[in-house]
Amino acid sequence: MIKLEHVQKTYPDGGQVLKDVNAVINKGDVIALIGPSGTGKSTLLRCINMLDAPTGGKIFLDGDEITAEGYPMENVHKKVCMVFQSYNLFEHLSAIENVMLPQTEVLKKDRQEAYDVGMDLLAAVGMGQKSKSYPKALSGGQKQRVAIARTLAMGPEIVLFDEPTSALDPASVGEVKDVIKKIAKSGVTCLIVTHDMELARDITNRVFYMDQGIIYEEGTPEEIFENPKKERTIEFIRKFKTMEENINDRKFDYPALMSGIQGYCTSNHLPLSTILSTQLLSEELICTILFAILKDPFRIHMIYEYDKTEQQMRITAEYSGEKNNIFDSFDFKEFEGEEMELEQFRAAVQILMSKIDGFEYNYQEKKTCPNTITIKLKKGQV
Amino acid sequence: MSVEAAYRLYAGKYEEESINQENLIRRGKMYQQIGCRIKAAFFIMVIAALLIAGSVTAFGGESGKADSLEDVIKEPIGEMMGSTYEMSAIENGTLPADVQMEFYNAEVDAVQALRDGKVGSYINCRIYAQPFIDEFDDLIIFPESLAVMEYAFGFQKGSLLRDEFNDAMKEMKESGEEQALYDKWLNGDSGETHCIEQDWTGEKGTLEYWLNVGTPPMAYISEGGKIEGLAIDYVLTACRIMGYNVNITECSFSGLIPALQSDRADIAGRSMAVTEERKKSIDFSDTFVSADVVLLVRKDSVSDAVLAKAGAGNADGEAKEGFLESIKEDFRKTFIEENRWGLFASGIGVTLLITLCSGIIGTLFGLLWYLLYSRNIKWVNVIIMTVNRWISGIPAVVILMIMYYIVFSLSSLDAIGIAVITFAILFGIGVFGLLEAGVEAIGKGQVESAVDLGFTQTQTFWKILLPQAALYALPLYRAKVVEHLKSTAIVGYIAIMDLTKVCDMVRSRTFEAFFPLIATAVLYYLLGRLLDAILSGIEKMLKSENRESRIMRGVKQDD
Repeated sequence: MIKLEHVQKTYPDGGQVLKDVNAVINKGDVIALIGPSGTGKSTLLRCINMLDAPTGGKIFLDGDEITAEGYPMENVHKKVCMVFQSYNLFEHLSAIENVMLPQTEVLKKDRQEAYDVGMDLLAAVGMGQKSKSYPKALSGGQKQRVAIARTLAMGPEIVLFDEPTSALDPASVGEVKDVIKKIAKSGVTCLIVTHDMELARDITNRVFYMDQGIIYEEGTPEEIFENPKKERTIEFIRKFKTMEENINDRKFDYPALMSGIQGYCTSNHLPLSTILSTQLLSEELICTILFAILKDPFRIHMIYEYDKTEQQMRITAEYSGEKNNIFDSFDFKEFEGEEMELEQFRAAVQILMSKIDGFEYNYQEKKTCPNTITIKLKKGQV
Repeated sequence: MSVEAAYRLYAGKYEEESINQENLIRRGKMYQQIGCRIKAAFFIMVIAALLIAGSVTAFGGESGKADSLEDVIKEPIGEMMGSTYEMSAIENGTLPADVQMEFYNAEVDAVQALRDGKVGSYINCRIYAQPFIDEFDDLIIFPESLAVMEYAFGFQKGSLLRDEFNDAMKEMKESGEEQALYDKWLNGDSGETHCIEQDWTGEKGTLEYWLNVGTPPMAYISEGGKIEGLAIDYVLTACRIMGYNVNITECSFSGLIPALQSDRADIAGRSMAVTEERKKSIDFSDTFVSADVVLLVRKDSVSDAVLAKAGAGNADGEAKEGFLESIKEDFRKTFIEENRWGLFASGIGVTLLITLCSGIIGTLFGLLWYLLYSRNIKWVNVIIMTVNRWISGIPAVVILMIMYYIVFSLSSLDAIGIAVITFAILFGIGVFGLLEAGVEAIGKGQVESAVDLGFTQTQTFWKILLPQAALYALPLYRAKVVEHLKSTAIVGYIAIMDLTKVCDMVRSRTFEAFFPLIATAVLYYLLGRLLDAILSGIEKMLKSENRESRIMRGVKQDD
């Protein structure tokens, strides 16, 4: 249905985002485009519906070369429609009017027909009751569903999703994913750019991993996620299994670390209690214990990994400095002092000990961060 | 090492850092205080300087009374802009070449400045100075003639009409008609005098006579907007002899020569002094009246000897009107006498007409102009941006005059039409800017999805961008319309009698510098509020239009 031949895209300021993209997309395919940021996933999507024409190569849609000079764009827009990350609803119109306007203006349907189709689709996405609401009164997830209804009302053969859930809060993500699943099942050809690996795994039949301006590796979801073959794919998938963070300064980005932990836990469907425990332990370990012990300049490398088979969260801290196992000699009887800071210290260590299932200490001399402490969270934490 | 030991070893580090911070804060506060003191000292010095300067200028200068011409001209002389009295006096040797002058736009302004003490004297010819003496008791004509002015009418260069006119003038001199006119207008109060009626049919056609209207007796505005004065009467008499009818148009002094040069006027001026400079551009008739150049001065600024010579009484002895009385009198003179409220009403009408016509046309123009711009055709947009920049970069009054004297000089379009077109363009460019800002605020996203869904550019503009941009820009649009109303005040430059011009006329006629101005300001303000209220109402209507009914228009719901 869609053929991409040596597609290139270079921006006027010199950046070449797509170098040589080749692919064949069949009718009924549901394809996920994954990859690191900036590797051209959105750009490729925008080339397919000719929002940004490619600077080199050819794209064929049902046999027609749409990149040819003078090719009428109406044909492309009829068959291909896009769902945007920022929804792009028409703010001055209500939900139903948003769905009706393209039908009456572009497809030249009469208002009654447009209305009927619109109400059906809004109901299908769960927005039947809010048909008269305006975009500013809707949440992100609701807006995205209206946008999807608007797109479907045009009866496209191919729907492009450009990071449909990236701008949504976690609660809304589920609503939209459900709708996308339904669409995929109905036989519409879909291309979905996403960072949501679960979405990619559950509903797609093919996954394109994009890197370095090309489709670096391609395969079924099982192949890509469980058995990546090429080096960069392996690296990318691994990153999704763990979360890593560097801390080299006492004034590091604390909120970023906390939200990173939350994001990682959420994408692994871990309960709130695990999130809180992980965050708490990270704070105690880094801010109270390690910061007190380490001398400037120091380096700390945190690795968070959730082991699915064991169902256990592991926190690893690699830190610089001389050989120093922070858990050495816990003799609480010695600590008689009245200093507040010392109390904090004791408390921190106590907390850690109470929440973990054990720890491992390692020292490897040649590395920048020779000390490694790995703690395992107690399972079923409250 | 144990936790405790480690802590003890490294904990001290934190204390060091916090001490540094405290130091910084303390130092910072110190600098702040010093800075405040320096600022305060500076302000005190500036205020002191201003006070000293003010008191020096207010009380400075000699407080002696002028005894001779030399004394009088120690202070600046006021003159109407464009007049040549002081030049004649300098040529004549009665004034030094470096005499200090202050120039004003209108005679009433100059005289008011004289009465307020801003200038020491006001130079004009006796014909114009006399009405001021009649009106104001605190002024007097300094008893020394500085030069003699020869006044003539202006004609187009090389015009045969000029010679015809001169022949008519000779006839008038011989028949005594000329002297009769002088008696009618120059001797005594011209308040009740009227020009002759044009009860003849000019076989040779109609002449266009353009003149600037100001204080009596040469040309001034009277009841019902009719222009009266010696100059008109003279021209009418001469034209009757020559066999022409006369069409009279009022314009500004600076517009006289351009009117002749652009073939809009056949005869021009009410009392133009003949100068070599002017002869380069136009031809003059023979002198039709002459008068000597004098200085108007305040009675209390000259010595008794001078007063006696000028034939005036003492400076004091005038009963001062009560404040309320004077306001009532001002009101009567501005609005009641000669039914001048009628003039104001017609001025308001003209102002509103120009504002509304150009406002509506301008809005449409701005919309279409922006629509063209949104097509993103490179060379078209370059032209559009260049035009916009030029028009925004030139003062409106200059553009208006260019349109009038150059662009439309050969067309038969009248002044109001030209004004409407000019202001429509100016307003349209403003609307363009509003739309640009509004569309910018909407953002590219909606346009992209419209393109993706298959909307054409025109559809995107009218159905998606414009409704949102308009709502965003409406408050700004309202403000722009009120500004637009005010900006029409310059049409007096091209001979349109709008509210501001009426104000000018009434000021010249009544010698009131003050009251007509205030009245006009209040009228403009009220007009502005009226426009604002109308637009507010429209805005409310657009917003509260029954949403439900509009959505459901033409559509059946199944419940």
